[in-house]
Amino acid sequence: MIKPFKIIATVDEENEHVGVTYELTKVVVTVDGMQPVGASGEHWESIQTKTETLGAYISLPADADIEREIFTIAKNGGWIQ
Amino acid sequence: MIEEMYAEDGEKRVAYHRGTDEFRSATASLEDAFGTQPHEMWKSISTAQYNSIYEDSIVSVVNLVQPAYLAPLTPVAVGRKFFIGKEWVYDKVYTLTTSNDCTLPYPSGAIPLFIGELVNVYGQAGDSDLTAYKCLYFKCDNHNDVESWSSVELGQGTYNTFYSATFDTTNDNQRLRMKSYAYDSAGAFTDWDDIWTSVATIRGII
Repeated sequence: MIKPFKIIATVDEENEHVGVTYELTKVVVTVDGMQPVGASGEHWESIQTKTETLGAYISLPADADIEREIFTIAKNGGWIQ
Repeated sequence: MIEEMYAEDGEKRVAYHRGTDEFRSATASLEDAFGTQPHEMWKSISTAQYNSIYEDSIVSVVNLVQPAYLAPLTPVAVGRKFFIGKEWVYDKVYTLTTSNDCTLPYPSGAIPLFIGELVNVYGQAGDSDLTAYKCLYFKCDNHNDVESWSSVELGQGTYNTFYSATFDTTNDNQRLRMKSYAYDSAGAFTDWDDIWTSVATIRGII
């Protein structure tokens, strides 16, 4: 299974917690100057993309579902495409 | 309309380019069923078409921009499949293949171009591993040869026609489904072989 996030490292913390270093990446699309070409609905457009990456650390309870937690953060933050 | 796809087990599928009313309408319908989608990253969306392998109707999207998490698979193109009845979502990854490394069968005289497979993405509905089903996309200048090889009558375009067969790689590459992609005029999707040549050249394969 492909994961749309990357868990870089985990570390045991005190008080039954685990620290997670993770990375989220998304492609941001900017479209300029849409111009129809032909009758099929195709068009010329200037498309620019940039890749944004977020690196972060979070402390979670030791029994947390780490992947689920990171996914939820990513989804709520608009990092899931 | 930028593409017509004919399959042996379903009605003709039509794809619409971004920026058209049909694209906006189809995207809105899909979002009603599946929630908000990143359609700013999409190049086209299709009508639903029944697929006997998955026993479901599927809407197909081709991406304009590839999501970053698929980059390790070095795709030539990516898309997304929405299984209407099962409410599954899978990404589809298209990778380059060549006559030298393609192990899937194809008609004599055909040229293998790409292999497509469905991949699970964490957080998307649908937990079945479908990677055993692989689609081989190929060109063949003789339409009759493809129909003879597949024993399937297929549609063709006046400008270009390309083909695909889906195989079960866990069952001696049994061919499960045959498709043709028909184009009546030049456009964004119509020259698969040029895309293959461009990518193969960049990667130093030819």
